[in-house]
Amino acid sequence: METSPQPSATEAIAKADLAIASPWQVFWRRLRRHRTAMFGAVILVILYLTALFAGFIAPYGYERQDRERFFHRPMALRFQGGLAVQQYEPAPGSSKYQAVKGEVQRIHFFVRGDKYNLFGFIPSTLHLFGSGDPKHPINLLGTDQYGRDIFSRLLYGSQISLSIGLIGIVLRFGLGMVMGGISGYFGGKIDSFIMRFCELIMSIPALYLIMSLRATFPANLSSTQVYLLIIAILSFIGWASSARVIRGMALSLRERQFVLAARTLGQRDRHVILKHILPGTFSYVIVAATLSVPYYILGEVVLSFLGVGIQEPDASWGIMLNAAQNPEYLTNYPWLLAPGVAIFITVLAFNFLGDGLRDAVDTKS
Amino acid sequence: MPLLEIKNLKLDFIAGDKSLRAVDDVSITINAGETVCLVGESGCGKSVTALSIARLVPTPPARYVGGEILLNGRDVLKMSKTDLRGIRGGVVSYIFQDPSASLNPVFRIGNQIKESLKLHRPEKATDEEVIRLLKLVGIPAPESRIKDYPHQMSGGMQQRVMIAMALASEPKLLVADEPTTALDVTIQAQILDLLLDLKKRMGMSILLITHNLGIVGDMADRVAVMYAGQVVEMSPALDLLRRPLHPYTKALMNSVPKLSSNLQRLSAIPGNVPTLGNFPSGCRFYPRCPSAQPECANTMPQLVEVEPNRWVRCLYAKSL
Repeated sequence: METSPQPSATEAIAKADLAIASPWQVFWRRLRRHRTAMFGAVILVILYLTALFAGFIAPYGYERQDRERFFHRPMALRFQGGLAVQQYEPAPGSSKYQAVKGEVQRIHFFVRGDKYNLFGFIPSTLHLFGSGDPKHPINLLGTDQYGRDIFSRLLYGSQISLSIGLIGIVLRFGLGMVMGGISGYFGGKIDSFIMRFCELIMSIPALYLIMSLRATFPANLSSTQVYLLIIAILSFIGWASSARVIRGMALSLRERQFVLAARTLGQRDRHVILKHILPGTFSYVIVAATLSVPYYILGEVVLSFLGVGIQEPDASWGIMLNAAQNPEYLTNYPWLLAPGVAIFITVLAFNFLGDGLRDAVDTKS
Repeated sequence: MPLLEIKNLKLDFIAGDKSLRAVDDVSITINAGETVCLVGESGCGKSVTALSIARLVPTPPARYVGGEILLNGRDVLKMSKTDLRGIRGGVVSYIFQDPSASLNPVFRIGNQIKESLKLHRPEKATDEEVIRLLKLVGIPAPESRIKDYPHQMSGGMQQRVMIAMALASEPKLLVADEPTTALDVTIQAQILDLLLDLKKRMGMSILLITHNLGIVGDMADRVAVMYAGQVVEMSPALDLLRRPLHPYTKALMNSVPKLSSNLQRLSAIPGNVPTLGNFPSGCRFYPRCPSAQPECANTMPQLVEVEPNRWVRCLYAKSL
């Protein structure tokens, strides 16, 4: 009755295409076409997988010190009767190390080593690789001022640095969506109150707010507590700006007829906000969330760098960079900056992905 | 007892420190099984009156100043939030002008209809019931349609889905706010036929808002004509179409183009509907009224029954 009798071939194809595509499928298809975004996504998947299996991949525990080898330089991988690294020994009379001519240290796979808990609860001593010889450890990225393996610490540190962003955005945008949705949907006094509160938070320079919030808690917290505290502080500062944007979107969405239609059916306000207002803000939230992950990673770095974040001997990218504050270290032992490179790669990958997401949700193009 | 009795409803919109009267002293009665049409130009308060039946006009900016809205004998304006949720959908359901805007674009239509069922008949919130409803509103192959997104349907189909949603809760009164304005003419006729058919089958009342007088003759038992927030004429549909009593109604009917006549120009009512807050004193229509008398500028006419069942708000209703 309302279908045209003979749709043309292209129309039919377009129809078939549409018929199977939910909004999420369309979104996914557009995202997959975005090269740099997929590149970023792959990098991130690798980074998060290595963080998940950090204990297994890292040859040593993050606390393990080798008092013979402070500031050992990175060891390059080479192929000599299998994967191997050059052997080094302390140079007499100085704090440098020299290569032992002709001697290489073979890398063995699936060796037993330091104890760790896989995923935090499966105790194990199996490591992906190791030297099998305590006298000649493998320090792919060198060691730090306590003789700890930087590669291992980088992996352990990524557990904190990478997860802090994910938990952070859940908190931040959870709070931002709820407050922004309520603010925009109800309007009036509730709106004014919530928005003025957001502006209050946003008007204080972030760093001072972070420092003063941190100062309200005792200094001698455990690393886990500090970890949670950093997330809470950063989310507490960040939700305000998200809430403002979401409030703006809610303001326009609540005037849409389907919201009125839902109300005419007798839907509760809560249901209308959750089901009809907030899904309309997902396009913004997904993109903004991805792009704000680096903010958390860098936030942790800043706090740990300033000495109010994660505490030694626990590893995070921030606390590792803390050691690089000393200019003498920096010129002589540039490998201490490895976590900086890791941060750079991660932030870049998140921005690539965020860019692609932005294009994928943009229905106008 | 009538199903719906709006008595002397007064509603203001607050704008800054002014309050503008959008609905002024409107009284409308709808009996069970009756179809009432609400006719008038844009901005004359039709939709606000209709939304008020379930107290859906947001307050603020609106404010109910006076009157009563008795639905099944209970005053909607005095109901608690919980009771209101019960009557929204449960007693009175709405469909709107633009069906594509009334459906949430990100959910499948089957789920949207189910939402309505969950609220009012939770035991029936099943795919079978959704399919039955879609069949009821004349959607072909409903089994394959419940997984569709709104954008995959034509406007007529979308409006049928809206009607299915509105009927899912088995309301006593269906308020259709210009349900066919966004649809093309052939589909309009189908949708209106569907509404009449469903009304008979389910024993509902319908309040149909329109500015299309052609629809009135087909659908309505009674008609209320609104102008500038007031009901200016209320009477049985056929009587009104045969012999309108209020000058505004006459003017409206004269502006409908007729196929039979050979006119070069459409006749229009001169001027515009006065905007809120700029109503003239006395009769609100007199600046545009072809038969205005000096007295019209000073005295606000009341709605009086000039003939049996025919109510007119005009000082000279009998003499014109």
